[in-house]
Amino acid sequence: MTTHDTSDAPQSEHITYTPAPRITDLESAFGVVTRLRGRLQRAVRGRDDVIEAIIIAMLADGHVLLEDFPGSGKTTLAKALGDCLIDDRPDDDIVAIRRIQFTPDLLPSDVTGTTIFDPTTNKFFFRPGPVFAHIVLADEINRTSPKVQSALLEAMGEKQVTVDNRTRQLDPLFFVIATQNPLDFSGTFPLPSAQLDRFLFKIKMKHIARDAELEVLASIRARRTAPAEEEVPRITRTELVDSRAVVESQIHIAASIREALVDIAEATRRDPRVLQGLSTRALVLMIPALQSRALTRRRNHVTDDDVRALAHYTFSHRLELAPGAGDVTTVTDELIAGPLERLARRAGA
Amino acid sequence: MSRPPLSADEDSLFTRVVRAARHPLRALSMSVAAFCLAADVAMTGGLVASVLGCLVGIALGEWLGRSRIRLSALGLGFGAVGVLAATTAWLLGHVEPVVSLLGTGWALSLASFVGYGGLSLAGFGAMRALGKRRPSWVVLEVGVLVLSVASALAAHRGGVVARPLWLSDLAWRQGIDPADVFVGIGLGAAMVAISLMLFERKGRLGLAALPLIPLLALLAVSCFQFTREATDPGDASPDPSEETAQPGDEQDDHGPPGGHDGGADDDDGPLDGGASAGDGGLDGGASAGDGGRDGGASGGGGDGGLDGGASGGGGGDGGLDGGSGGGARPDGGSTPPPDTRDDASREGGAVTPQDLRDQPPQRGSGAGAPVAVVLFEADYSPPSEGYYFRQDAWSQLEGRRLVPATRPGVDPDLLRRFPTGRTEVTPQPGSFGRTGVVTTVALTVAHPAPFGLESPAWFAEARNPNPSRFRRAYRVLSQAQSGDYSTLLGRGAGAAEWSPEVRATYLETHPDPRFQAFADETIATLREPQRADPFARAIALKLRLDSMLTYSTAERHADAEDPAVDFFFGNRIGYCVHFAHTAVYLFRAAGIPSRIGVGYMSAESNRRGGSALVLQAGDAHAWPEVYVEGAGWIVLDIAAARNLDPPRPPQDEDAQQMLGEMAREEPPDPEDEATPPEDAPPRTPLARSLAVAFLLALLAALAGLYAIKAWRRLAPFLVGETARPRVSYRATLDRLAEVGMSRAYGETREQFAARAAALSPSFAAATERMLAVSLGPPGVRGDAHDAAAWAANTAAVRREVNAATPPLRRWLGRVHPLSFLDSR
Repeated sequence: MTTHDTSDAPQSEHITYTPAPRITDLESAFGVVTRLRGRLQRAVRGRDDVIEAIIIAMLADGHVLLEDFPGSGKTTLAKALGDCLIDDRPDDDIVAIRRIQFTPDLLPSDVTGTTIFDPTTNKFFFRPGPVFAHIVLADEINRTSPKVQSALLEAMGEKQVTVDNRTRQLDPLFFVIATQNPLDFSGTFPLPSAQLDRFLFKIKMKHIARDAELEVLASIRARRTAPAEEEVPRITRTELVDSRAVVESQIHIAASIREALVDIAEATRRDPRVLQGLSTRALVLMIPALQSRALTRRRNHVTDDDVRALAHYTFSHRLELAPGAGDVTTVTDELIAGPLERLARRAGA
Repeated sequence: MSRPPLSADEDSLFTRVVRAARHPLRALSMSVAAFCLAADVAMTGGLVASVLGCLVGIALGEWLGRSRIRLSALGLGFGAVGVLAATTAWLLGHVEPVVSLLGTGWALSLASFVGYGGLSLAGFGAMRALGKRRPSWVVLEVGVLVLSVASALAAHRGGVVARPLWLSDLAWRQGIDPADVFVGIGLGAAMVAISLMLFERKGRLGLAALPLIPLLALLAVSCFQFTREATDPGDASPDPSEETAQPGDEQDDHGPPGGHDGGADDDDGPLDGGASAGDGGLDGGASAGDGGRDGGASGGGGDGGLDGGASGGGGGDGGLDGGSGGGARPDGGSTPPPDTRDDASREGGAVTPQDLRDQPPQRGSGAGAPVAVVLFEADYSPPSEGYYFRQDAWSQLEGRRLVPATRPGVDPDLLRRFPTGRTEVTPQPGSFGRTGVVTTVALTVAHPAPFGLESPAWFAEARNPNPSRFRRAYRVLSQAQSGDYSTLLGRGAGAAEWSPEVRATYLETHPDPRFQAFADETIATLREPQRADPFARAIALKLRLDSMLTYSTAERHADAEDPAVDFFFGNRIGYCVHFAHTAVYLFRAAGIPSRIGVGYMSAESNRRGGSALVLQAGDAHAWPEVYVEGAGWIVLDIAAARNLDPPRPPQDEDAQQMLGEMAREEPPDPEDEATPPEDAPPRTPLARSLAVAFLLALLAALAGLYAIKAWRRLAPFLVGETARPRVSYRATLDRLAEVGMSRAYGETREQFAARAAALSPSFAAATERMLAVSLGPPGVRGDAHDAAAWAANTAAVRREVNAATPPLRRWLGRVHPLSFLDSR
């Protein structure tokens, strides 16, 4: 491996790295969640729901598409996320966080990395692109050409990039937060639905509450000058990857929940207002998300509340509605109500 | 992108059509309901108005229902519209200036338009608004729709063979009126539809729907009553038992007019409306009276009937004297007065007041109609061979005829009202030659006053054995004549206790001196010892009259200024009223206190040995009576020598037996005498049993519901470990549902727990525990199954709920039988 350092994060060099105990049980995994949540909530005010969704997506090994407007704090959020993370494998070329600002003239190699000739050694060497990071903030993803979008999306789907016919693996913890502006469509390349499917969640951010906004204004100086890093410990990349394994293996998902998921999918396929219902992949992706939410609630099992809470994030960008069918949120609400009600009645009283 | 499957497409089309057609459909069907409701009472204008009002009301209700106006305000508003419309309609029709301004026709049309339109608008609008706000109340609209249409159909079915035939035939064979079956089926279908709606609704059945249950029950029952009454009268609903009663009903129709004629014509005020005018039946009787008895005579109708049969043969010897006189004469029909009120008589007939008022007794088809059933509790054979049932008496000479007495002290033995409890008749008739006979009379036709076998001692109310057949029933104790007429000889005339005025009333005879001359002449033919005997004189007069009179209801002497004179000093052809007047005038001229008895007469042979005797309309009769000292009023009827009326058909023995059995259904016993009169609207036994069954079913359903509630509450203490979390959680849910806190449709249990935390924070723990059991990994047992933990949790929830809700709310929830439906 070359020593070429694409990262400007020198901190990894002077941290005395002591390996943290491995995460093997739910309690310690929940501790990871608590730390992550605590730090993020300190950094970003009034966005608890988005923070929660992002944590869940990270634990579920999915990616997030944020749909919002400029100045809503998404960069702050992504940077805080990067700050939370300790890269405990400093010897690889992968850094904690990268940000890509998408523009129409961006090229795929600007994302994936490129092969460069080194005249001193007379050899080509690979310079990794910004996707070689644990967390990638892909800003305004719909501004760039489909070619570049595909490059990123391939990386998201496969956790690998192919440059010059050579496939290079990305880190297991490869997490993309993409954003797009819901209003400004001129000169954009909207993501087709097949590519939207690569995102586990699509989150529509709303303006934060008045109190939270006031707090942002009041604390802006304090947060800028003294970033409160020390009170809440950070987490390491390994801890996060271990937590994923714990979630997958130790959180129980009952058969009735799976049946409810299938029922919901069938309901979306049968409803005349929906042109394209949920794919099986949507359900497959949903399972770890549900388990992750159960972990954030310190449960060892998935409940119907998890399904209801994540349905909008997971399903609303996967449903294609017939013209005039109305708001996708309303339709989703109606479609999940029946199966969830059946589930609640069957398992409950 | 895949198209939805075909079936979904069709579904969507259907759904879309239904959704789009919802409002027009509702408007259409509700206007049909409005039409059906108004069809029976409103004219064209009112019908149009009610349909229009219904449409406007629905639109208005729908619109207002979507607004933010409070429901109570809406209700008040619609109520105000209804009251306003009714008031305006009344004003339009009743305020003189308005009526004269508009003209009567216009005012009436306008009033009906405004009234029906406004009421329809208010009613349907209020229902729609209510249905919009509280969807479960839509069933009210459905109920009104179904019941109004169903009842209209049921009411129009009269005379039409009920279809499907196989069903009505089946019902027939079971002895059930098919109408009941159809109404029952319709009601059942409606109830099923309504309950389906109640339970299938997406939302939930809130406390607001509770009042619906009794309301629906009320609707159902009232609809049933309504259709029963609508179909009953005279419709063709072929009820086997109706065969007998029906003629009676018809007769009923005739009766009153007849009666009124009689009453109206007489200007004899004294006569008093009550007695004469009112007595449809009887005074039918009056005139009619003769009819019956003279039965044979009546020219037209064949039924001189009854006695026609009896005596008609000729031999019959006027029963009357049978005893004393020995063979009286074969008069046709023992007594037949000629009148009848068939068409012929009606046209010819103007019964003039000075005539013997009234028309002749009924003849023709109506004559055979039963008016009453008399049950004899003892075997009794009258010496006159005829049963005389007296309802009234004409004692007082008023101008040229006799009318019911108005002078005090005269005829105190008459009862002109129906008895409540036991009513003694004063004074008791003399006891000489009399025997007590108790009879029960069941009237199939309304009468203004009771009648009883002469001479009644008391009347007592009796329970109506079959309200659908009989108007009322009562018992009578009669001191009936048992001694032979010969035993009455040698006694004084009149009672010693009579005041001079009373005696004078009974002796006041016709001013025409020829009556006196005729009487004197007759008495002169008697031998010496008998000449002074009042009863012997009476017999002599009677026998002479028998021989010289001719019975015919066709001869009415209606045009004569004085019918009695015209009759007796004319062709001597007439009917019972003429006979009776003549006889009484002659008796009085001979110094014998006498009067005319009015009521029914039926020959003993009509009883045919049974204990029941059916009185027919044609049996109405009037007869002369004389007062024999110590023996009271003695019937001394005239048996005319010749009868010009055709004989009446013989009594229908089967009908008599059937009616008798019906009247006997409940054996009279003394306690019945205290029961109130049967004025309540008649209910068929089937309707009653249905109502009872309905109530029982309702009670059973309630009991079942409460049992379910109790079980759900107690189950946590009774079930094993496996089921404990589920039933404990359910019991907690029930408790919350009772105070109106229940999970919404589509809400998850955790969301609900968060919402319920305001009421009961401990509920969240219960939810968590229950979810851990039902959704958590199998085999892991925390405290989720622990009885103590659950008990503590339940207690905590109860405490918190009690602290957070007012007692009334909790109490209401506990009483609500369906509260557990809300908990899920």
